Amino acid sequence: MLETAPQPGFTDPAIQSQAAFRAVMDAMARPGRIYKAPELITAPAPMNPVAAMIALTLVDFDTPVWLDHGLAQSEDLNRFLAFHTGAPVTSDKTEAAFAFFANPQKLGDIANFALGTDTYPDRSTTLILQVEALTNASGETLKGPGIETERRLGVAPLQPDFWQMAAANAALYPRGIDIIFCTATELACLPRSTRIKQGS
Amino acid sequence: MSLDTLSSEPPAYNFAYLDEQTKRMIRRAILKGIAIPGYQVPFASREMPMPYGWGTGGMQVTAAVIGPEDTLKVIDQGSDDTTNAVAIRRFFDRTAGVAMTTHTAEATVIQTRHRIPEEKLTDNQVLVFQVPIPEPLRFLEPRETETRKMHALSEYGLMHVKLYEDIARHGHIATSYAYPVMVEGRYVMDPSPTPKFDNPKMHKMAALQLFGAGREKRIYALPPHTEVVSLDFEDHPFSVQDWPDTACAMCGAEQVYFDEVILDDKGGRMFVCSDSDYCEARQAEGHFGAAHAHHQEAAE
Repeated sequence: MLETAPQPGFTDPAIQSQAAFRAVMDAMARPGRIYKAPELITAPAPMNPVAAMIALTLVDFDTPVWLDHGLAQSEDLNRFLAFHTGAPVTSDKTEAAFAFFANPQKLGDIANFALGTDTYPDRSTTLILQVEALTNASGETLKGPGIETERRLGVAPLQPDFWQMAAANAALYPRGIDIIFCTATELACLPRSTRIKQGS
Repeated sequence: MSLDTLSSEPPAYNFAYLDEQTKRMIRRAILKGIAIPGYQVPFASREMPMPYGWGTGGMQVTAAVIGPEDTLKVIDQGSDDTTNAVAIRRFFDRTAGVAMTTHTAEATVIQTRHRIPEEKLTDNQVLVFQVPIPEPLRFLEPRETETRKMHALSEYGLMHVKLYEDIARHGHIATSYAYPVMVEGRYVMDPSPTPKFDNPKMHKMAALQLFGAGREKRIYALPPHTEVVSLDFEDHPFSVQDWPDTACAMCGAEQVYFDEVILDDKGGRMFVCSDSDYCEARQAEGHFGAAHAHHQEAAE
């Protein structure tokens, strides 16, 4: 029996999930541009409000979810996700449709997630990374679809070799994973189609 | 409450008709489509309360994208007031209750059947295309297993053979609509049966372009500023339709896409803008074409 009821999700799911999706869609279509999250969902720690918004918007019984150590440890969070999304939690990275990281400094090798196949590149994992800060003032230079000329994106904190892994991921195009960064209030995306020019 | 009042109440649909699980599934497909521009993402297309072929793919995409803050415009062959546009606008009026407009600049979501508005689209707009046959290679190779492999290998020689055969037979590339494009140098994509006149507008467009094929169960996308190149040959470069010395009979516009209107059975005809909003806006600004002058003379 539940000792405490899970925390509430959307109060008006059709309307709020639409606003949330629209922010994610706009962000995915304009890689690196930082969007304010329209809805903030209070989820059990260590999941942040924007990651929770994304989970409740995109995840359901059709999408196996992988959780990093910190998230997987939280029984409350597991209950929260089970109650609101019904998504199966998997420990098999290649099976995950979405993978959530509370600690972006411990990603391991992101190429261990599902990368899609040449015939079905869409059968890949989308990573949701909780970070502290996003900025367009400094960081890596991004180019590609959705970016008129170039756009800079700084993300902190990250595993030190993250941008090398991201560049290797982009080189797999059209295979590869897509990444959504979220702070406690904002989000930005890095789809596989984005080319990364490393620099100061 | 009597049975009469109950049955006369409008049916209580979820916002924008589709249930939330269906929207999540479509939304996930849209995100994949955006991440892989030009690649056709399979999705579990639903039955809609109108037959396949009437824009059910575009409607499902619109239903998954649209919110109460949006203003919707629907066009059918450039026009806001033809059957398909009116029916789809009414559908979203009933099921989503969003604001509607015919003015291109006021719309945040534009669902279209086979035209791109003449007015330049902006960064805060989404253009949703209704697509009958999403697979550009389908009439060259009927097997899905094979076309999928051809896309995987970026093997598009067959498409160039088709365009070459056009030249061999007609002296020029005779494909005038659904003219194949190359997206970011990777995927050959069907721009839906828009006239090739509109192909250049797709290239690096500021608005997000989404494509939905309901019967064929595919969604694909072009993020803003995506490179979209119409296939051609060095010695037979791509060109768009051109009406030399022709201006719109209503608003006098040149260099737009025209509809030919037959006026009588003696060969009388006129050309008018296919984009009805563009034409009306020009007339409101005081631009008039030959037919309008003719009307005025008749009135005098």
